[in-house]
Amino acid sequence: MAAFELRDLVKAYGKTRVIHGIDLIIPDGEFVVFVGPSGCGKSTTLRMIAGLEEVTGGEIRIGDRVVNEVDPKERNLAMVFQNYAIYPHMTVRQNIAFGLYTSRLSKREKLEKVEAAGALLGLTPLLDRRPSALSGGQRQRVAIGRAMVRDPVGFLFDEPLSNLDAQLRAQMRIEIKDLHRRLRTTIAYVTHDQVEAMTMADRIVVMKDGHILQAAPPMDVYDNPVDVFTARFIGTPSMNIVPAKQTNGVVTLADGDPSVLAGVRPHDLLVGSEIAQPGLTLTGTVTAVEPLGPETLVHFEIAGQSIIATAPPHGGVTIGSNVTAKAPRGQVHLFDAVTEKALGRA
Amino acid sequence: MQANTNKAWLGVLPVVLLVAFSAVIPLMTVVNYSVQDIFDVQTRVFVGFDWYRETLRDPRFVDALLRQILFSSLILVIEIPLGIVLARGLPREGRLLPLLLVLLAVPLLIPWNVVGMIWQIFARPDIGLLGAAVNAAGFDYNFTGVVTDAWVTLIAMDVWHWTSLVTLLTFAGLTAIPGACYQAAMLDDASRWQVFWYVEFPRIRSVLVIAVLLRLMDSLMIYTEPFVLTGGGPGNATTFLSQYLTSMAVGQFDVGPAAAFSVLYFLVILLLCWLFYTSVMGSSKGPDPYDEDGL
Repeated sequence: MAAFELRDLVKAYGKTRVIHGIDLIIPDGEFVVFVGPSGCGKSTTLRMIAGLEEVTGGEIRIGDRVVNEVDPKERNLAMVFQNYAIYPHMTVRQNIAFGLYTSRLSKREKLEKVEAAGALLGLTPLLDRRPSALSGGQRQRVAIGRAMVRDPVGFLFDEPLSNLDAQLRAQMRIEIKDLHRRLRTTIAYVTHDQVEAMTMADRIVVMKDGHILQAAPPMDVYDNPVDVFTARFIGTPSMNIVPAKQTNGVVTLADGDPSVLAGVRPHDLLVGSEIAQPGLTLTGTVTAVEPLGPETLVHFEIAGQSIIATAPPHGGVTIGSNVTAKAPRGQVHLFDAVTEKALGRA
Repeated sequence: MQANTNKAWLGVLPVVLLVAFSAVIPLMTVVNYSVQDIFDVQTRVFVGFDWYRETLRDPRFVDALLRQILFSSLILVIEIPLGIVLARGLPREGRLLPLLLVLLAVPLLIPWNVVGMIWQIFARPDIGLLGAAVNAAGFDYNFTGVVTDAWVTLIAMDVWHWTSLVTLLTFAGLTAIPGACYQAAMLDDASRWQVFWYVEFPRIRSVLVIAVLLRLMDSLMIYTEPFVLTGGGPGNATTFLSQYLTSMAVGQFDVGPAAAFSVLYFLVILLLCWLFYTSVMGSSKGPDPYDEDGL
């Protein structure tokens, strides 16, 4: 078990810099999820921690050791990949045991460890099967098992659930989180799926273009995003952003040059509610209605911009009609119109 | 009750005709010849299996068959591992790769008799680059006179000609392996041999089966290169089945025995390929389990 520490970490391919000096400390036992769009550098960062990519500048520490020049296998990390990368002509048992073949444990201890890992992951009845006879989720569990038996100081997950269907993904999310709860090993987990980030992480690291935008617990990122990008990236549907101005504490739509950008999450923007003193009121023509069951999403257009709001399940909103949606005070996020940085709430 | 007509057979008819004219009828003609003694177009005598018995008792047939099996075994033993080693040695990307691939493909593009010609001159003890050099180095080498030299030259020629095929097929198989599989093995501290055996081999297995099958069939039918290089000599030392058959059918015009020979030859190739294929594929039942999801 160990903490990870990245100090002014830089990665460049030739002259192209892809990671621009990031700093991050992952304390021992924390589950950190790196999230961001494709090409933001999250996988590269993870692969540098694993030792699969060379570090161009800065330093990576695992525990108290600087590992920049340490071989991947010497770092004692375990990595789980998107396409499982398990050995096809070995049984599940042999696959899990493979990571142990250099270890000095006795044969019996090795077998016990494999059995224990198999039991923990619910693979016991499958131990003598080949990977070809397993489902995607089971294969990924084998990969996790293989990573587990070596007692690594940390786990690295590189989009491990992206190959699975939605239902399995939801189930594996719970399983991995549960595994972390039981093992308490440091985990660095990369995904482009903000739902995975929200549901699993102790802390989310939002990345974009090789920079860390925000590193905070999921609800902090959700409640207090540092900028427009983070605000829109975390939470579905994405936060609505409209050009606005603020006069005497009241936010209204700006025509012409906006002084601020106002952001409001669809779940805070309510159609047909009686809010006495709303923080923001938007009126427009309905373009689409999505009934989800417990609520209905209403898409409407305002000055050529698409806005998503929430209506009660049987609200009777129809396409083409005019709606007014209101957000309560305190739920409107303000961002600087130029830098797009957060300015607090209104 | 449904009307029981056989109209559906009409749908299969084109294929049946095509196969009949392209394969079955020519083959049956040969089978027909093989059970007759033909003096001229009008005069034919049915002789049953006499020609088969004669062929199987013919020491020259048996010798040619044994030589053939030895030759095929030797080139497989050399070309398959060598091809794999070369393919693993190729860079996976970069500017050099296209050039190397073209260079590798060159021997495959040369007509077979030209290959024979090239090696015939190349290996000549008096003026050939290889032959003269080997002799100058103090080895007594003459592929037209010494049986071992002839075999070595012949095998070297085949290896030069065909190893690229194995290399290119294997390389294609290797490039399909996701990088994560190598990285996972790296984190597992797998040795180079383990990377080959546990990561690569299972994923190139089916390509290798094709490579072996192609080389097996093709080497069993080898004709042109030894014909040009050694003419089957010295003596009969490099006379393989196809050469013996040609001398029998075209040289001596023994149509009956040659037809029986052909049928036996065909059956030998079929049998060997079938044995190989079933022994390899028999171990994994059903569809190839390894090509899914980059597993």
